[in-house]
Amino acid sequence: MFHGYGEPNEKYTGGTPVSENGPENQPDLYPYDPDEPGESDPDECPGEQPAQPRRVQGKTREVIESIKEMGTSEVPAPKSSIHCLTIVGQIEGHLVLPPQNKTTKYEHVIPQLVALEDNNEIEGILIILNTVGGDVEAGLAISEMITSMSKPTVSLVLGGGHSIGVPVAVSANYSFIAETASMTIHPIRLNGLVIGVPQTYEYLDKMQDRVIRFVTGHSKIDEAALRELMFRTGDLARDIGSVLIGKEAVDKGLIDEVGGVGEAVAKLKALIEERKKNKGESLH
Amino acid sequence: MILYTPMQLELVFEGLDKDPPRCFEQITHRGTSLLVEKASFGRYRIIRVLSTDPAVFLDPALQPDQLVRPE
Repeated sequence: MFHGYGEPNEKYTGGTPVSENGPENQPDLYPYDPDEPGESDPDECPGEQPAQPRRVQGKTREVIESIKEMGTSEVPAPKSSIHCLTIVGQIEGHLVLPPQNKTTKYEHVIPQLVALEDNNEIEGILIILNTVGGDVEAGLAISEMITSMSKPTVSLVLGGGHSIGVPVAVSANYSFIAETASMTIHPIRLNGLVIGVPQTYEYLDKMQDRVIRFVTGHSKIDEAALRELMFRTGDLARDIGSVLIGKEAVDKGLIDEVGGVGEAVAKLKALIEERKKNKGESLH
Repeated sequence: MILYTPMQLELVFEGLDKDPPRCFEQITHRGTSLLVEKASFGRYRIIRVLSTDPAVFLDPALQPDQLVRPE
């Protein structure tokens, strides 16, 4: 059990700057004056290089704040004109999954994408995928958001982009897959509250058609080839379907190119330049 | 809800029926409504950001699973 940190009665007198007292109560540690020139100003012009944050005992204010608030020290990084959206673990949908799952929460990712579209400082979005799939609706919602953005988007599949990760991967303007990354394509299975009547089959078929329509509409693979991959037998031990690794996904037309983060960022920068030349016209 | 995943569903849903129901509450932190869960040492873990301002969702301090201390 970890004692002595964050307790309301402040008895901790260790020599570290971590303390319940705010910076204003520690004049020696942090003589902060908001009117003093040289402080970084939140209203500053976006194009200008922000002023160097004030240093106290070798640490910037942000570092002390993050130690105090979170117990970690994060090094403030320079602002980038691209944003990186990571889709990891299960894409969580309408049901909160048990805590052993690593999840991507769609209710947070969707407004983030709105903010990225709206923010003038952000010029492009890199989507990094290492996902085992997840909720069909949530995955398709994220895919539709990404594909309808006016800013350049590049996706990179690292490790895996399985099941509903496939439409997310192809939703970007340009897609990359790492040489060893894999994508599992298999039919949508029965789970959740679905009643076992003939209509169940039709319902699942409709769900599947949504995924197939999205993937064929946003990549070079055609419907027959995708269905063949989906219903192939003998590839997977416990299921029908197939696994595409690196170059195979490119050969099938699902992904545009084999590459890593270097190629993905270079492509994104090229797309940003292209968009600037076309005076902000959409890439669609 | 349909889960489309190659993972075994027994693994995904393991413990769903055993864990005690989680108790969420709504607080206001730095002017933003948050759906939170009680964590240790008087802090709260963010479950969901309840805001209509998209810029709030890019704030690194207001991401799901971050710990906040109410003001």
